[in-house]
Amino acid sequence: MDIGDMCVLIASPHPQVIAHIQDRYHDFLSEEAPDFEIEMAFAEDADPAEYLDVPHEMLSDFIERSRAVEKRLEEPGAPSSSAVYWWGRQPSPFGESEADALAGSKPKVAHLGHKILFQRSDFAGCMDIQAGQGRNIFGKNMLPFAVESFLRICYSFLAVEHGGLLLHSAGVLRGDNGYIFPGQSGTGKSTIASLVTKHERVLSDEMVVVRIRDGQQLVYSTPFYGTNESAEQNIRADLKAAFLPIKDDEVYLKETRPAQALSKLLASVLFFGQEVALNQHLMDISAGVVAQVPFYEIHFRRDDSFWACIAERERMEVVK
Amino acid sequence: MILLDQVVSRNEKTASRILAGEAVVLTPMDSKIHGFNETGSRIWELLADRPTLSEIVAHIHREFEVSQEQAQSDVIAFIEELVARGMVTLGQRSREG
Repeated sequence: MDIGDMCVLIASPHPQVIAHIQDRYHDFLSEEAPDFEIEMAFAEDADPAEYLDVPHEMLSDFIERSRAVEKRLEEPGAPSSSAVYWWGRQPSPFGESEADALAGSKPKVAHLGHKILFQRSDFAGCMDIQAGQGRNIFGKNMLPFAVESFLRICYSFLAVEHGGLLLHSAGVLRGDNGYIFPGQSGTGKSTIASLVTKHERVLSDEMVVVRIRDGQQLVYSTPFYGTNESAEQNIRADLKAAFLPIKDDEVYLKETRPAQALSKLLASVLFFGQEVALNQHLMDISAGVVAQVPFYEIHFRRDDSFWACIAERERMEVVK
Repeated sequence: MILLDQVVSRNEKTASRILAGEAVVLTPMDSKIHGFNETGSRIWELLADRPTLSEIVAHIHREFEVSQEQAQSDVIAFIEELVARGMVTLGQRSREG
């Protein structure tokens, strides 16, 4: 699999895991040499702590909560597992508070030397960045969700390791120009992506990778989408500007102060690292992006009129 | 209670940058991002050298042209807030300096 020019080899003894990955991530499959290798197994295959080579007591969160979820799913009339593990795409029939209590939206992260252990109730995973290897273990009922969750987290760490960021952001390609619209849930990423015209193409309505390589700022599509699957291809583009979406009655662009841009960018990064050096690295990468990419607030209505502001900015750039 | 001879140190878990005079601080402990105003940013910058509170007060009094009393009151309030958020620690300067 190749996301953001970072290749991951995924291996599993279970054909259904491989078949799922080949189907769900079809446009992001690659035969390039891997930067990282991941094994995926079901919880019934092995003792999770032994499989991940971590102390048993460190997996209590996964073990306790996965049991609670399994039990809840076995109750008469319980909805399917897809109702528990959602990425904010639709309300859970369990009710958001119960779904959140069962699944937990944020993984619990621990650093063990150069290994990083993370766990929710749907999966437990471990990455050894230095060794270039990781393992993921999950209940087989949790197949699509555990794989997606693990991959998002893996790529968030890999991106920082490779001098990039996995961002909560819509991404749009307009001609050869790549644009990002970073923001947390509710800021308008999906709305922006849904308002593309014939001149634009959606890279993602939910997550993009941003990297600076050889002094060039790049934005990549990802298979991690929100409400629509429009990012069907693995696309890389020059990142020309970042627009922080703000719903408004007026439509205009406003330049941001560097610290404001950095704060908003950091708030949009998917990253769970607790280690000092990793976070300093994250800060350095983010500050590098802010130094090289123009950031604006984009005030927009629920129509496509804001593209005229971006087109005007493009014309000004050409004049410069 | 904060004493003026106490040394103020940034929590080493924080990561920060100062851009165009404004500090942005990341606290991984609670996954929060903090932005400071001009004075707060200057204080955060000064903390790199592990100053005492009275040294910070002297800087703010001189650089921002506020009275000694005002500077002391503002600095103490700000440092108390940073302590409460776990972003700094207070200690004593060792005799060796």
